[in-house]
Amino acid sequence: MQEIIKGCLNNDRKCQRLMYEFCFPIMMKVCKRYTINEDEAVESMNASFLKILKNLNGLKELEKLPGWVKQISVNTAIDYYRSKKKYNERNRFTIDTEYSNIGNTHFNMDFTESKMDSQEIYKMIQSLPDTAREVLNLFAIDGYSHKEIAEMLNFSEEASRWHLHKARKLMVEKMEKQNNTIKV
Amino acid sequence: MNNENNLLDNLLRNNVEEAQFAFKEDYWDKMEALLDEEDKDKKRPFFWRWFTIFLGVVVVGGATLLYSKLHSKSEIAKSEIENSNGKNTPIERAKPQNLHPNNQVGLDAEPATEENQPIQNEEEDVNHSIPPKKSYERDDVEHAKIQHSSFNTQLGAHSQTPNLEKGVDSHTEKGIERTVLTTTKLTINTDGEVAKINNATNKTTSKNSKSKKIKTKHSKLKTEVAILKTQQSSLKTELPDIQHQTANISPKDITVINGKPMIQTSAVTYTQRAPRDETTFNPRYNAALKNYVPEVYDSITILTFKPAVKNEEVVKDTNLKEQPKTKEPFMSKPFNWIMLAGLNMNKGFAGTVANEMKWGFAPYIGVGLEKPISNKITMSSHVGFTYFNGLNTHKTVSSSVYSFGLDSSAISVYYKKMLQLYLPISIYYQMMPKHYLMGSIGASYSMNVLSTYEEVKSSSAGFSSTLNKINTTYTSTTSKNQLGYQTGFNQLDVFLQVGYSYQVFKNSMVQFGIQQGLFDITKNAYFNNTIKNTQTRLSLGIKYSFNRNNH
Repeated sequence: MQEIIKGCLNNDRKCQRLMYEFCFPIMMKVCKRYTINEDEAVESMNASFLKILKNLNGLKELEKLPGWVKQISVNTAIDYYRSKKKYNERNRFTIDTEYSNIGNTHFNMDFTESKMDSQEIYKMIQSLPDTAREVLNLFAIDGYSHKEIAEMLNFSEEASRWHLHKARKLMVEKMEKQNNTIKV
Repeated sequence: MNNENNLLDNLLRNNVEEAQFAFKEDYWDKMEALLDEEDKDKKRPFFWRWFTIFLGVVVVGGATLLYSKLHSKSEIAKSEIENSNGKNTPIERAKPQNLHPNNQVGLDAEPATEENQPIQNEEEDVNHSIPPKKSYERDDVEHAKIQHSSFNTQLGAHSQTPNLEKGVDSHTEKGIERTVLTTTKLTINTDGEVAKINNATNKTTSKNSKSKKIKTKHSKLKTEVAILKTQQSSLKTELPDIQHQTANISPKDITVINGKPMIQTSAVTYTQRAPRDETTFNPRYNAALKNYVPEVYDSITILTFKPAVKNEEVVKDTNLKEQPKTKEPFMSKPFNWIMLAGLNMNKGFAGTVANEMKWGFAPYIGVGLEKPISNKITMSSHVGFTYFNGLNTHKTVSSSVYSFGLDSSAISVYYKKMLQLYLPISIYYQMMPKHYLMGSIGASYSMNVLSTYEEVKSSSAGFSSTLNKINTTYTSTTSKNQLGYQTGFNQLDVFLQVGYSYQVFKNSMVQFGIQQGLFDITKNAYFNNTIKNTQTRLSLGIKYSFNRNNH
């Protein structure tokens, strides 16, 4: 691995290819759930890999490489989301949201017995609205707090909670629908 | 509730971590294209570094040239003003009574008298040498102009080049007299023979500290010319009538003085004194100063000129109008304003739209300056405005929006024109009269992009209670032209241009050029492709030169 990193620093394409293949599963897992389709995922993944190559000389401990790659991928995905959000705002795409009406919704589903195909889960996540998807990913999967999410995505903690609730609700609906389809 | 949430989160987390994605070669191809682009971007600073150095050299060189031209002009103007105001200083050494035609050189060698020594007391000399004031303050000595260009500034006392000459033009009743002043210095070589060596005076360098002395000296010499003219008028050849003269004028005989064509009618050289051996005749001779040249002129040559034509009406009737008179003033002017206009034909981009690539027409207009730097080469630069059309690219952004009455929307931006400013630095080389070759290097800057903005909205039309779903949707499309969508383009480009120009009239040229941009204008990462789009254009237009200085 050390040799590959050295080669990457010397702009050796073969080493860069090997590094790309090494980072691919980590980056793809992140990028695919933060974006809406494969094209966007690949775009975000490649942008992440560029950042990785640029900052590779700052990597001190080799063991931390997977975590570091994942972190860069998440950050890049968030940047991508921000730029997309900015574009939508500039073009007057606003989402009417009401944060006050967060009720306690009961899910009629047994998650312990639920067995879903991971690809289906990815599709469901991708089909969520942009902000809800980002919040769900950050909170439920990557373990960020609402405070951190609010800072990253530039809205309030209340809004983060609301988006998370909405995302969960939509996910459950989709999962229930999927389960029903399987049963039928 | 929280438990359910945690279960859901765990389920998601586990499934996400378990997912496997197959590596596709296509992913790496895209990545490699990005890496190649990054490498290009890294190389660009090297180009810009050299380009900046080149521009710096051009600017500094141009500024130096301009400064030296302006400086020498101001010096000439100063000397003209001083002379015309009658600030001439008295004659220092040249005594009219001691001057003889050049065939008498050697016969009138003066002994080592006090008068022949380097100047000690100018006022005393004046009292001894100058004739009565009236004799040299004649009306015909109205104006004198020092011709700096005729100065020989070669250094080195032992040079074998022709003698140093200084020219003074005097406007007189009969025309202009140009006085060529020759200073010689004599040294004795090892064989004891007298050798005539060119005066390489250190006083005639263009240093500012010496310029005042030179001007004073020339003022004095101008007065000497007047005196000599009076005393030796019998030696001059009478000129034929002007009208007869113009009929036989050869272009080689014409000398342009102050912008007027003049004919030399006579040249008479007067020698003030013979060369002398300073070591013998000068009691204060210092060997260390053997290269020192006293400020004394040993001979004066008077060139008499007459106007080649009497007035402008005569010019029209003589062969003089056929002479290349127009070229000289044009070349002598430092800068000319130029204006350019014409039509560009731009080769469209191979963009993201599957349309066939086409050539598009676009007008251009520019204003700038040109500077002749030699008889055949002219440098020119201008700021121009045009646009580059045929961009053949678009970008679509789809968005699902959850709000009342609106489900989704797609925005498409069709890029049409890049509005550009460009700055070329061009060299025109005259192959033959009226035919020029042109070469340019320059930069263009895209100020903005004109695009067609199209928005397609899909909206819910109603809810069907029987089907329990939204039954129909409708779409609305809005389209308008807008500026500002320039994210996907590189604004700066450097281009090379070659062309041909034909001088139709004195100030007008028709020119044709081929221009090629060097950089990829479209950002591949933005348009998600690997196409290299450079700017290629053909141009046909007119260049008009203004003669700014009409002095």
